Amino acid sequence: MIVNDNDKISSFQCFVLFVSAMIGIGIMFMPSGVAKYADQNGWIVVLLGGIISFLVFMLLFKIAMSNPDVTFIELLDSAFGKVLGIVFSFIYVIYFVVFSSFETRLIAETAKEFLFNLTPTEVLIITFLLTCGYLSRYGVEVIARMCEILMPGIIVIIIVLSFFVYQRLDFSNLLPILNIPIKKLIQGIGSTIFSFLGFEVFLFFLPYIRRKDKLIKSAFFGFSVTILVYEVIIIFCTADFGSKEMQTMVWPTLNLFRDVTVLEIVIERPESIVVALWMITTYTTEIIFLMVASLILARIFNTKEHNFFVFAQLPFIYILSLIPQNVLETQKYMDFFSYFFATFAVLILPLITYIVLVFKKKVKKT
Amino acid sequence: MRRLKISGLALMLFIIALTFTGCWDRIEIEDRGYILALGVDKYDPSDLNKYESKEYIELERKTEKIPPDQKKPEIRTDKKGIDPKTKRKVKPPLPTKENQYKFSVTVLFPNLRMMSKTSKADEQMRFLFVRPTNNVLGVRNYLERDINKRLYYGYLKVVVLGRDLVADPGLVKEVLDSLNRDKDIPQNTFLYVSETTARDTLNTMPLVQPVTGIHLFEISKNATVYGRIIETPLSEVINNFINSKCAVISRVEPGIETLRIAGAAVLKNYRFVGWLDEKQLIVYKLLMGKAKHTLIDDLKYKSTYVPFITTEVQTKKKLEDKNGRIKVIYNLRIEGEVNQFVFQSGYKVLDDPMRSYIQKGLNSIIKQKAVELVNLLKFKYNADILGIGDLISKRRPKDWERLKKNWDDEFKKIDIVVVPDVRVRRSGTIY
Repeated sequence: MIVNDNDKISSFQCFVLFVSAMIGIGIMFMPSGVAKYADQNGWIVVLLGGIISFLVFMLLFKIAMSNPDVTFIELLDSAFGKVLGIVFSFIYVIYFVVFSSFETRLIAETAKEFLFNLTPTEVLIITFLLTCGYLSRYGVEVIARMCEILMPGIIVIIIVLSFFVYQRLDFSNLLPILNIPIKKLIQGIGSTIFSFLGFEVFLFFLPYIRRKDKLIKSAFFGFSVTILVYEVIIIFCTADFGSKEMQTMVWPTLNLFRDVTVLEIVIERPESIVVALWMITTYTTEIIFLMVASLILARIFNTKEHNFFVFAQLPFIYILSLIPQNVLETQKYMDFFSYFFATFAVLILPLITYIVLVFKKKVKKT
Repeated sequence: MRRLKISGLALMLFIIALTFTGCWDRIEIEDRGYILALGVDKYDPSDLNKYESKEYIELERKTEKIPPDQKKPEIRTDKKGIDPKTKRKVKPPLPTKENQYKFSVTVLFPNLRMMSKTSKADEQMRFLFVRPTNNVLGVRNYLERDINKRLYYGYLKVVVLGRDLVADPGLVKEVLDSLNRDKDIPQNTFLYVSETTARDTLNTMPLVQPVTGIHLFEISKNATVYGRIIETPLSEVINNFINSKCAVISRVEPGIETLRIAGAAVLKNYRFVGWLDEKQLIVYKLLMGKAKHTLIDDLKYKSTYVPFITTEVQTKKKLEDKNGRIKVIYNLRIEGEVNQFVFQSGYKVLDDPMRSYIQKGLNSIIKQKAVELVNLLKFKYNADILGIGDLISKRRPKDWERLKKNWDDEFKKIDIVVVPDVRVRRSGTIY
């Protein structure tokens, strides 16, 4: 597999990719999900969840850097042999496809609720997927550039809207701090980590990164920006609604920005803007996932190009995204998926791979 | 291979053509009816009869700018709503025993034609529809048979609840849920409790602003400035109900040509327990730190009432524990100005002894009124609208665990002390 030099990404693009992959649809539902476990201490839980995610990233980085010129797929091959390697690689394909279908279904539900009441969900999903597929056919660098254009806009809009929200916040809703049982804290962290998932994609485009020594730095900044955005949103939500009311909401983040009015002429009812914004964030997440999954498939089938695998995934994503009955069920499946499957794919399998590799090397040394 | 490519392209084009042919959800702006106000009443079986009563027709004549020579044709109907002359159905049938409704909902939306230049001089400013329904927001679906517009709740400004409705907790819960659940309704919609029925309120055409919804909304927006009105947006009411099961909702008094917002209704466990009059409301707003420009004119000097207008109010709450009893101390720092005194009285308002006389007098007045209000809330209404429970749960979570099981009784035991500190800062252009 030859990697062309013009398909390399700079460290800034790497940072942008991290942020784009991590900030996805989770941000819509996260505040209420965290409030279920941690009440008014959600912000602590999110902070801890972010830090733990970063630690997991460091672990993965250490594993991936054992051979920085190949992707994780080759590492799997060298650890488990050809057959098992392909099986485990397919696990990652399934992981990304399922992840994509959750994102798709949730953004379609959100858009249907707030923008297109009469448009069928299927149409929304198909259009969204085709738009994603169109871009994902290109390489890593094109997608990184696209995210470079979209991401700063997203962050700026969130910050601008937050300014207008600020005047009606009551920060006493964040009291009392830290009266939270350890068990619930751990449960809460488990539920937030899903919002940070997405950083594992770097395992699969490591060869495309120009400065691998600066990857840690860009990832650190990527995590910082993501944690900052999440923190702003969860603190503002808690301060605005209070934790009890937040638990009753499906889209707390949307409700937060929904009633921003500026002079009743400039901005009124910006929810369509906010939904469009989350569509863009989901879009950036989705294109990265689609591309990574097709890159894995290209490695498995040993083809030069990955672009025809992109459209091959879309039917599966479409079918999977239509399985849950409603938003709540989707979230339940998503929690289930993140607790078991994501933990296995992101933490356990890389660890096993690393142990096996070390063991094999040791065997070689002796 | 080429053929495959071409057919693939054709398929793509077909799908794109199918999915991109404009939005399913496109609505032209003139096809929409923007509901500005919603009135929700408990349904009364004699309702429709009442609506045909003389005083209503009189009121309609007064408010609908119809020239006196054009008389409205009087239609008399039987019980089924059928006109005996023409045998046509003209009104929804009166309810029978099998056909029981829960609400009668009033919908008000402005006449957008008035804004264009083609409008006639005698056109109505706004339209009012009343329908019996079982579902508050579902009234829109009842009305689609009568109105050529797609009714839209996105610009709802005002929701008025009838006095009969708030006496029934089940109905209040249903109304709150529907308002909270709907995605279009802005959370800063103002809620009111009408002194009579919501329909009377919305039927009133105030002289200054005939579109009732806008009238109420604009008065409520001033609540941050003036003291006798309280603004109760939907989000706040819902939040208070969730956190403390009590809420304050602004009161509105319907009249013939005026519509006054004054005082507030106190609800506990979704049930109406009593009113707060304007003077009590001033003190309540001071305690909640919501008042900015409040007029307090109860202080007497000889035979003159000295008016005092607050300009800055800072409220600080402290919790103290005295041998097991929790004491809440409100420190009110009130700055303001005196804008009327006696001409050539020989005193300077900004100088002692007059200044200290005014300050001490106001302190004692505010303190006394606060005590009255606290006693009213503690013993008569037993409604924690001051948010004391919320305060304890935030500052002293351990105590709250003990108190919350029996909060209604514990609330009576809590000492609430108000320490006002009034400062006269200005006195206009003369001393």
